[in-house]
Amino acid sequence: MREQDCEQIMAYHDRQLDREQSAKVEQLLAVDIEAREFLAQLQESDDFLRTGLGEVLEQPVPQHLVDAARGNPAGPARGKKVLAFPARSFVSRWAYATAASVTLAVVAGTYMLAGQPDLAQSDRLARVVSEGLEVTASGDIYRAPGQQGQVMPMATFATADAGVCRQYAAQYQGEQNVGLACRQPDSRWQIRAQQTLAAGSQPRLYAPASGSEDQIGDQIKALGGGQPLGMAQEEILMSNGWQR
Amino acid sequence: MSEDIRDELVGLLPRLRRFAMGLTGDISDADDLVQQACEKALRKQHQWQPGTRLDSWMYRIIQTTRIDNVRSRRSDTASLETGRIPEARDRRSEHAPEHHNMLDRVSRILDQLPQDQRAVMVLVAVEERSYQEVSKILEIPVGTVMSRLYRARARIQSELGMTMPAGTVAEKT
Repeated sequence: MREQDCEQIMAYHDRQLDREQSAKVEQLLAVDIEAREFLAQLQESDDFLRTGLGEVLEQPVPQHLVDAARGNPAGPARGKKVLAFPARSFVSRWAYATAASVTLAVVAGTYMLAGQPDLAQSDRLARVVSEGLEVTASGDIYRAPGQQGQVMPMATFATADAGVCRQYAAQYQGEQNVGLACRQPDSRWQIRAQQTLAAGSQPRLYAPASGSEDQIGDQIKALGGGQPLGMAQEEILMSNGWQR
Repeated sequence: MSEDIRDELVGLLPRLRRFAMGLTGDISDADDLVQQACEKALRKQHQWQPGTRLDSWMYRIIQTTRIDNVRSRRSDTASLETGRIPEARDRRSEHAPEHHNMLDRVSRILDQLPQDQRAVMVLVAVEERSYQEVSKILEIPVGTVMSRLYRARARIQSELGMTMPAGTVAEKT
């Protein structure tokens, strides 16, 4: 192939050619196997890149970035693992960054997914959340081995009524949730409140449909949670198997 | 910057993180970069022209901030005595379960590319911008966009075990 042919095939692949130029490239592709192989390789390598980097879109956006984009006063310093917990507005801020629209309801006190009758999926999500909260520092992401699920603990609280509780963001099979779970004596993390976020088609403005965005914060307050623990305190707790 | 624009900026964060990840190859570095870029954008909000694409402006800020950071790091390293240069850390190796995922593979391959090629590659192949748009965002000629793109693809395909026709699309500045 000539140098000019390669340029034209690449531009064709990138949809940079007009109709006449595209027709010429298609004529070349029809008769030249090397040209077809070249085009197929371009598609394959671009797909590889797009798919890999696309994983970033599936991850929850850290709270400090949302704060930075909104021009809010600096929260935790860059690089710190533990995120500050804004008592009243956390859920809506998180939602701004991760979901196109926020719907459904918070069910506090007991765990169930609003509008989600698939108990098996709920169980699997609860298991991924429990595994993730057990071994992952706030601000890091836990990816469930072999499953389409990930959990990012957001903050840890030493509550008066339920022991150690952790706020988290989770994604399982495309569904995004934020919630609060508390550690049980049998080492499992029991979900005490959870909100499911439904992604739409990226409207510009996002708003919680139910107006119930404070309920996770209220749940922490009801359990006597107070302020989130600092990074050092959390690390000590985790290294002690979450025993105070 | 009006509240609406801040909302738009928040809505862009996932894509800005993806672009920054393409430049840095590390999600922590990418988040730092996006945070710096957001802070810079809010400080320089008067320079943004309403009616133009906010994402393009942000890509430009991210890219220039990245270049500044790399230059700054090089300068810091050069000022250290050899014996005091800290040992390089591969953060990805610290997270073994993540080591074999697709994102990690892509990051390791992008690590092989020069900075100027990375930005072009991600903007065209991932963000699906036209050569003309990339030319404006990065303030380089369209011919340079094409030559960098070609060389970046050749390197990526080589890493993936493929071969591209050699010696084509020479550097055009």
